[in-house]
Amino acid sequence: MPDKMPKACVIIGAGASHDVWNEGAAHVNIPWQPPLATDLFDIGKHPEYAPILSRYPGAEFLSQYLGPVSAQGGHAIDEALRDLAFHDDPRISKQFNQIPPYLRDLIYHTSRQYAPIPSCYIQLVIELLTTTPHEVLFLVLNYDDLLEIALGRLASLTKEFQFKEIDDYISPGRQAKVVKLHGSIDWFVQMPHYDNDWAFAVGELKLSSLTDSPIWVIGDVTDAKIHRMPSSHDYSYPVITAPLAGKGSSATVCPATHIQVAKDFSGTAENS
Amino acid sequence: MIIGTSGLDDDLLMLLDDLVPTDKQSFLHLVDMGEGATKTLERFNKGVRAFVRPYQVQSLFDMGFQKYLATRQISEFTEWHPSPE
Repeated sequence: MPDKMPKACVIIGAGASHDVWNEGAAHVNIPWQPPLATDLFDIGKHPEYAPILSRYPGAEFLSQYLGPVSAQGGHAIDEALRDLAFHDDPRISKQFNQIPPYLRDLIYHTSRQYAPIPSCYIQLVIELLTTTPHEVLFLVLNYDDLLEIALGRLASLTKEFQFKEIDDYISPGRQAKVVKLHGSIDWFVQMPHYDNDWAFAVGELKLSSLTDSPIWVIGDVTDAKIHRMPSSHDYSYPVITAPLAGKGSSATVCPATHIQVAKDFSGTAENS
Repeated sequence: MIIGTSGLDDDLLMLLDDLVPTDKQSFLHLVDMGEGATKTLERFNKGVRAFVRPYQVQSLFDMGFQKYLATRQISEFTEWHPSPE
């Protein structure tokens, strides 16, 4: 990487993935457009989400409460999710633990089925990394891996942008570093199997301590519920944060080393 | 550059407040869709100390990510340089 490239920090939220298609891709599958927060539990509007939701009875149960809130639009869904996440009644909070696996599977399937290639992210990385080369810090709020796919395609021959281990995202010397504050569809932690009772095991999880465990990067998991960790019989649990209103620093699930890289990036920043 | 987010995430605002220097010039493009874009910009301006003039020049695009790229608005961002102090 040449010295003295200008620096750019790019923050990417759900609206970017929602609007990822351009004319360079042959087709889009409209029902699987990457969702905004208001779409996540609006199953009436998105009946194609129902088979994914039904894999997670806890999430399906709470969706009956969240669906009407989703349909109202605005940011009420974030407030409602927050109320459920911190509910005093364990019958609610234990079922809430099934919402991240539902969201993870939903985002996985939308990101794979909407468009054959993440066109706008590819345009973005061409502009920022090659047309006018910058050193770039991507701060990503999304769970999908569309940006990583775009970076990987840019350097498909040199394999400069592989994301196989958690430290690859912030690998020193890379022109672009990726910090995913709220987790990723391919990030998992190990979860005890409790005699193969997935729902019980998930109910016992303390979501606030998720990042105390090592994060594994595991690609192309189609169904988080049945996925087992490599080389063990333990379940895996996705490392993502539900879209809670006013997410504070405790909502950040990426490793502390990633946050530090983000903070160090600004030392001589020219753009923002 | 901020693309497609509401500015409601306190963890992001806190990180940006730490990350973006208040004593250097910077340039912001905020890309959003529709009428909410102005409110989004207001949230970032309220939550991040460096997002104030004269240290930051700001532009708002409310036609979405795809149009922002298609109309080449991004070149204004990529070609920006701080003016001599």
